[in-house]
Amino acid sequence: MSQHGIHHVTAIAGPASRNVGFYTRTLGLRLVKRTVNFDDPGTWHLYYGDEAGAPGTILTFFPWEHAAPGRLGVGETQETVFRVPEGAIGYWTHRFLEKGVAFDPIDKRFGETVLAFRDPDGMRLALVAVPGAEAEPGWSAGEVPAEHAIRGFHSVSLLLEEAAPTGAVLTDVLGFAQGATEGSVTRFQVPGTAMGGIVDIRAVGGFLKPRPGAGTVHHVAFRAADDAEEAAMAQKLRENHRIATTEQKDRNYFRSIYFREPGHVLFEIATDQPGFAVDEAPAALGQALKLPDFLEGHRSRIEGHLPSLGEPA
Amino acid sequence: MDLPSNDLSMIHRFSPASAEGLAPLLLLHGTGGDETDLLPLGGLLSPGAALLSPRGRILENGMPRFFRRLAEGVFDEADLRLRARELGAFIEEAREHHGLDRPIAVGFSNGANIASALMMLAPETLAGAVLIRAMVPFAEPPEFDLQGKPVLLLSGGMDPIVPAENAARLARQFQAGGATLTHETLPTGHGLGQMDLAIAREWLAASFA
Repeated sequence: MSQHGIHHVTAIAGPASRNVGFYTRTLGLRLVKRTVNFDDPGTWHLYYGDEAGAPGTILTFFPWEHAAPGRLGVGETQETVFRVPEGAIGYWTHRFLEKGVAFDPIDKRFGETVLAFRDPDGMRLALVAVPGAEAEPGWSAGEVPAEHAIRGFHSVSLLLEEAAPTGAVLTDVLGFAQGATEGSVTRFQVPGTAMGGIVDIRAVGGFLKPRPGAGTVHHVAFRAADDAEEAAMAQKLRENHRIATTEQKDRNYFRSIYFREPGHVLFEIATDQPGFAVDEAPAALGQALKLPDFLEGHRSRIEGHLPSLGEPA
Repeated sequence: MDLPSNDLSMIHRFSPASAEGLAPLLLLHGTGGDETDLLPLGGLLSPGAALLSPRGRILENGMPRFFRRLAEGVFDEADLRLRARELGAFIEEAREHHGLDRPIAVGFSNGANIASALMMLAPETLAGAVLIRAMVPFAEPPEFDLQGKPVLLLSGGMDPIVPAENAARLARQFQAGGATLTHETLPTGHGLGQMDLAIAREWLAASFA
C-alpha cells in the first residue's frame, strides 16, 4: 500500500558550515547526502534525516553564504515540526539552554506537548512529544543519545489566507483527511501514518506577504510511491483543481513534480524511489560530494566554488 | 534615499555610495524583472558602491525588457540601437544628477544584451561590464574600440537559450574590439547562480582595485 504524508521539506539557510553544525551536532540529525542544487551547482544542497534518510524524515537546505533573512507571510510554511519520544522534552529544553538555542515556553497543541525553537537563521522549528516514538529507532552516532533523538517529521504548519482550497488538495490528491480545528488551525492527517503525516493550516486572512530568504521554507514535498502514482496525482490536480504541475524532474534520489497550491505555498510531489543509497552505500551516506551524471564532468570546478562545510558530526 | 525615482528619463532606483573610491554599478535586470531585482546583488558584488538600477521600457506580455525582440533569441536590432542610445542618455543624466563616476554595467540575460549593445555603440558610457548569460546583440557588429576595458562574460554550459557557439562569438567580438575579456562557462543553465556571484565579486575587486 502507498504511504502518504510529507516526503521532505526544503529551506533556505545562511552559511553552510553553520547549518551543518546546527543540524548534525545540536539537533543530532544525520547528514544523509551532500550534493549541489542541480539548478544552481554553485550552491550546496544538504540533506538531513534519520539513519537511512527515509521519506518523512528529510529536511534539506540550500545554504547561501550571503542570504538576507526572509520574512514569514501568508502563503508560506510557518513551522517545521519534528517528533521526539514523550520523555525527551526535558532533555531538549536543557540542551537548548546549554547551546544557546532560542526557544519558546512549552505549549500544548491538539493535546500534544510542543517545544518551539529557532535555528541560527531564525527558521521556525518545533519538537512534539509523541507517545510510542521511543520504540522507533533513532540515529545515535551524533551527540544526542538515541533515547532522545528526533524521529522524523511530525508536521508542517502553513500560514494561509483560508484553509479550504488547500485542504481540498491535501484530501483529494495527497492522501490526507481533515481532522480537528483548534482556534484558527485546522489539522489534516494521513490516516495510519506516523512519520510526517500531519499538515496544520493556520488560516489568518489578509496578512503580510512572505519574503523568501534565509530561515524560510522553499517548498514542502509530499510522497508518491512511484512514477505511476505521481502521474495520477498530477492528473487529479489538473482535472479536479485546475492546477498544472511542472514536468517531472529527476532529482537522483527521487523524481519530482512541482506546483503552487491554492494558498501559494510551493508543493512538490516526490517518489519514494530510488532513495539515498542509489549512489553511495548506506553506511557511507553524506560523507562525499555526490553529483548527478550531467555535472560529474565539472566536479573540480564545482568543488572549487563550494564553501567549506566544516566538520559534520 | 533608494526610493523609485521618476525625475530622470527612465524609472529607476538609486542607492548612493556608502564607501569611497568604488565605481558605481549600473544594474540591468532580465526579462520580467524590474528596477528592484538586482539591488541586493549589487550590494553583494561591490559593498558600498553606488547602485543605479533602471527599469526596461519595453513591455512584452506585461514583462519589462530593455528592447524588443521578434522571437526568443531574435532581436529587433533597430529597436535595440534606439534603446541602447536611450540607456546611454539616461546614464549621462544620472551621472550629472547624482555626481557619479562612469559606471560598470552588471546585466543579466536581456539586461546583459543591452549592456553588450551599449558597450559596442557607445564604449565611452561604461567603465566595464559584467555580462551574465549574454548573447551576440547584432548580426553585423558595429566597429568599436574598448581598448583596455574590463569585460566579464559568464555563460552557462547548459544554457537552453544561449548556444555555446553564440557566447563564443560574442567573446571573440569583445576581444577584437580591444576589451580585456574574461570569459567563463559555468556548469549551469540560464539562471543566475551563486557561482556567478562569487566570480563576479572577485573579478570586480581585481579589475577595479
